[in-house]
Amino acid sequence: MSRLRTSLSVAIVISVGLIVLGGYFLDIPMLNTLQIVFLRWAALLGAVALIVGVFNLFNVHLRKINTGQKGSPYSLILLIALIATVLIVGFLGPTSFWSMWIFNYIHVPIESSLMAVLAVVMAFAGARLLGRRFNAFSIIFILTALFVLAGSISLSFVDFPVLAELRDWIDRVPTTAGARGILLGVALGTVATGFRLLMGADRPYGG
Amino acid sequence: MAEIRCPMCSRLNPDELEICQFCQARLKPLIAKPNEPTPDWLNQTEDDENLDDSTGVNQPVAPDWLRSLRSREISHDDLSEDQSMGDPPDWLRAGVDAPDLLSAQRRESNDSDWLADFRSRQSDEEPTETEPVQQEIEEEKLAPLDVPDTTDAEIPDWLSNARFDNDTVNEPAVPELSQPDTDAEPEWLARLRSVHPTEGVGQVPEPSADKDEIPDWLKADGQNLGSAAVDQSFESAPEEEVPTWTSYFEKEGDSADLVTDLNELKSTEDELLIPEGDLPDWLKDGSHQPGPNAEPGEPEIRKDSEQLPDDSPPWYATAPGRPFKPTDQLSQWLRLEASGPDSSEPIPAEEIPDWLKADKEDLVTQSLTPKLEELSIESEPVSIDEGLSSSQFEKIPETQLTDAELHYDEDKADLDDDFALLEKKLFPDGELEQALVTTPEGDDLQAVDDPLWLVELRQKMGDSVEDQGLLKVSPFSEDIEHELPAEAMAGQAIPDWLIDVHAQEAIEHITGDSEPLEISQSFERDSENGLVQADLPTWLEAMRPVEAVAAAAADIMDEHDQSIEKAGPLVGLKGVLPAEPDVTLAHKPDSFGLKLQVSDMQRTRADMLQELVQNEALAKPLPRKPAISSQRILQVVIAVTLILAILSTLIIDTPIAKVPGFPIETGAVSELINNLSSSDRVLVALDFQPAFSGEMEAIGATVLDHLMLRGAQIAFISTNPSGPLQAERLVNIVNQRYDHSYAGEQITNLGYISGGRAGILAFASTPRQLAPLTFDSENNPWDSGSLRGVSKASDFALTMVITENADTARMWIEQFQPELESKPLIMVLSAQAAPIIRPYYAGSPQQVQGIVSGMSGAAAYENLLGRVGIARSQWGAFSLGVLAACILILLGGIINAFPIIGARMQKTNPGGDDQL
Repeated sequence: MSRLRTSLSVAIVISVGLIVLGGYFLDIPMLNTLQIVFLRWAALLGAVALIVGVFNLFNVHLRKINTGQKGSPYSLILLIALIATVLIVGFLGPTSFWSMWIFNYIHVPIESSLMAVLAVVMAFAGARLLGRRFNAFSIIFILTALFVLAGSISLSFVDFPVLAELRDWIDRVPTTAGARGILLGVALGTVATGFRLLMGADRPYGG
Repeated sequence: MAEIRCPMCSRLNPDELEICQFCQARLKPLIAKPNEPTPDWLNQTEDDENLDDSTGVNQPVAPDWLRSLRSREISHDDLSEDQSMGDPPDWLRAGVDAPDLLSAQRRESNDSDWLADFRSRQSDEEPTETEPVQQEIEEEKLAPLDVPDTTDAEIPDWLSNARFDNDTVNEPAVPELSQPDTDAEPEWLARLRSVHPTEGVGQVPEPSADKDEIPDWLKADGQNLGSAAVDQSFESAPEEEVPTWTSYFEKEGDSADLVTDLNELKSTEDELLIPEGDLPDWLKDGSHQPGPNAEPGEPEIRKDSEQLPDDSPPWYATAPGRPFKPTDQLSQWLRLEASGPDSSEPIPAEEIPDWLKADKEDLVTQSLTPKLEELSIESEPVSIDEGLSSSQFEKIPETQLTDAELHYDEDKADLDDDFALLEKKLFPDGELEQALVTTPEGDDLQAVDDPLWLVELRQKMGDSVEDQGLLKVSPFSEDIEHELPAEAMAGQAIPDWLIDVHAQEAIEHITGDSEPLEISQSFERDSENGLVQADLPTWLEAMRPVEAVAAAAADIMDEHDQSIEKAGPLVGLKGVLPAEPDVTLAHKPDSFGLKLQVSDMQRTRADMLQELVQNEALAKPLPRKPAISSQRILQVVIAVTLILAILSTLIIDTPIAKVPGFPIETGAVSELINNLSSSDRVLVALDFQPAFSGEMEAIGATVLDHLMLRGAQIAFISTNPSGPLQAERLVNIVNQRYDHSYAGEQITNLGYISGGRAGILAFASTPRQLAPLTFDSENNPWDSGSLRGVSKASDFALTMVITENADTARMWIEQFQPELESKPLIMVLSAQAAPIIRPYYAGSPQQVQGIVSGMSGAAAYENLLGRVGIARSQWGAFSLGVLAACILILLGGIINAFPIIGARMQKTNPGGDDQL
């Protein structure tokens, strides 16, 4: 039975992938229609997966609260917040005042604050980098970061036009070059992964 | 052609060959050259043999002893062809051979091949000369043996069979048995007598064989002793086995001096000249042949030979008291044998040794023990020619043989009867018994079993032996345990190892001296205890193994030795190996404790190991971290610094930051938006996280303001669940900051599209199906509203993606941009994502037409628009914050680097300046 299920999964994946890929290269109305259908189904499955995830999150934290595990208060808050938000947004609308208020004053500040702490942490890590790893690459990294940061500064009392040009050069040349390489590698990897999926070599769906 | 049978391989070879062609063995034995004269002693014997004692004419006669044997009559009826005596042995014949004889031999007997060959060769060479001998052989072979009379002296069978008569050579092999002539003198006796012609001793016939080819010693054998009816045992009897005891039946003359006798022997004419090569080795040693010109010594003849009985053998009569010499005995015997039966020359009397001439009475009284001097090795051996000439064997004619001798059957005859006959002949009056029974002295030494010759010899030598202190012990005597000649040990230091208690007794018995010999005390003591234990030096004793083990082993051994065996076949004996091994003895098995024997050290180590294992499972408490640490302080400092740097702009009223210049990609965005009209629909994909709202809202607000200024209809979409809300927030900020009033149909919030890439692709293809309603689900924007007439992505005049994530931007570029066909796509990115997306801008075909990245881009874009927005207002703080961060990083790096640099410098230069 498991073998049949595995075979069916592999067959579905391969067939759907070939149809969608074929819709890119072949101008066949049926093929294009199937492609769009499969894409919509993927979008729907994504949405459903999001709902399922929310429910899973609810259940996990609820279990956590029920079992009294460590961090259960946080889970409780989470659940309260979840429920409240669902209720508020559900009843009032996503763009209602309160929905927006929750988002504007709770959601965004919290995440922004976390990002701001990240800035301090990054600065702290930068300051201690040479103390942890004193090597050439660490020095290059630190200097590059300083150059980029300094090139971004345009203060009246601090004017380093060389730094600005250097920053532009770093941004356009080495960074772009590195980015290109990364993008190419990613692209190639994506193609290989696609082929493996189409051949049934990779079965991330558990087949 | 005549053939010779090889004695080795028994194959026939031509006669002319001397070496076998198959096995390379000699076919013809080495014989005396024909030119060499027959030795005198051999001729003498031959002559004696051939002498006829009655007529004195040389006739081929058998030796006396042989004749006497033949005289015994054997009944013809008792013998059959199968019971024939067989052929005489070849060694009894002196090179006589006949074809018929050979054939008869081969038919009946098992003659040795070498003898047969010898005979055949002789027959081929000189058949004429050997005819009488052959005839004699045949006659003897076939002649019936006389059955010995009980009253006569019995002669052994092998002697009686050794007949040699030329008349009987050609006769058939079946012997003719006739009644023995009891009155006939034994042949051997007659032969002995023939040595002394004055005494009427029979003469030994001469051999008729060719003396040149056949060795003399062999001729004598063949001529004198051959017989047609000889038992098989004769053939295998070697020469040395021929009893020479007959030579002992000599009667000593007046003088008992052995030396004189030997001298007499030496003075005899050496007629027996046997080539050295023909003599066997044992004869060569003792032989001493004088030259051919030497005067033959006349053996002494018994003076009282006429006292002997008539039937006494001639050698007996001529057996003086001469010292026994094996070589001499045999030489005489051989000489007698060498002389053929045809020899008519009698043996001179002077050649007969005295011991052969000795009277029978002397034989009894005389001691046969020779003197030591004469028996010593250094004594000069007597030559052969001086040998016993008296031991001749003359052939007794048949007429003189008794029927018993003629028909004597050795197989059937009783030896005792033979000896009785012999004894009767020699000692008709019973002198032998008297001699054996009583002796003047040393009666215990002469046992009854001693042979007569030994007795006589002993008597002859008696005085001399006793004088020398020799032990007169019969070889068969059992009275004396040890035969140690004390006389030999006299005057010498007797070693201790030789002397023991028993030896002491023996010596006392021998010498009659009861005085004990000198024996060392130690030896005497040790001898009583057994083996002598040597005294070991101290250093050797120190090296010895553990005494205790040896002692224990000795104790064990003592126990075994002393214990009496109680089982097995050796019950009752001491000192034997136990029949029952110890393992079989039932005993209680040894008990062993089950407790493990553990030493203290082992227990200590085991405890340590157990503790280690137990501690491994226990969780170790983590070290408590301090509440305030340098790390915390540094973090606080950095945070405060950054905050102060940022908040300082609030305090400082003057602008301190310069507006940065804008890059090209930012100007392109400005141009694109400037090209929009109020009726253009712009799709804005708002996919940034709320965490990045500070930067992204500043950048997005600037571009969105420009779009609003151009009056474009903006549709927001997001692949982020919080994107729609972000869109709402941004629109509000822009409206507030830039005094816009976008609402209603100008802003369409399409909401969230799921599926990531697939959703984007789907949206790009069919935006209506994927986002049919707005975010608030109130309106259908695709039919009425700002998105009326939009059915695909290319229907949007501009697509702008606002994101902080490079992957999201790439996703939109890869999935949505192909659907845009020629519509521009601009990116509003965070400073961290711009480098990743820049290739899309710089690439060809250009997938991204404009990029606005980071606060600096926003500030520059605002400056370009001439508007002061969030970016330009935050630019000063942003710059100060960045500057503070740079300073902090630089300072922190320097502070952390210098110690490390100093340490490394110290490693490379350990001495430092002090050493300088």
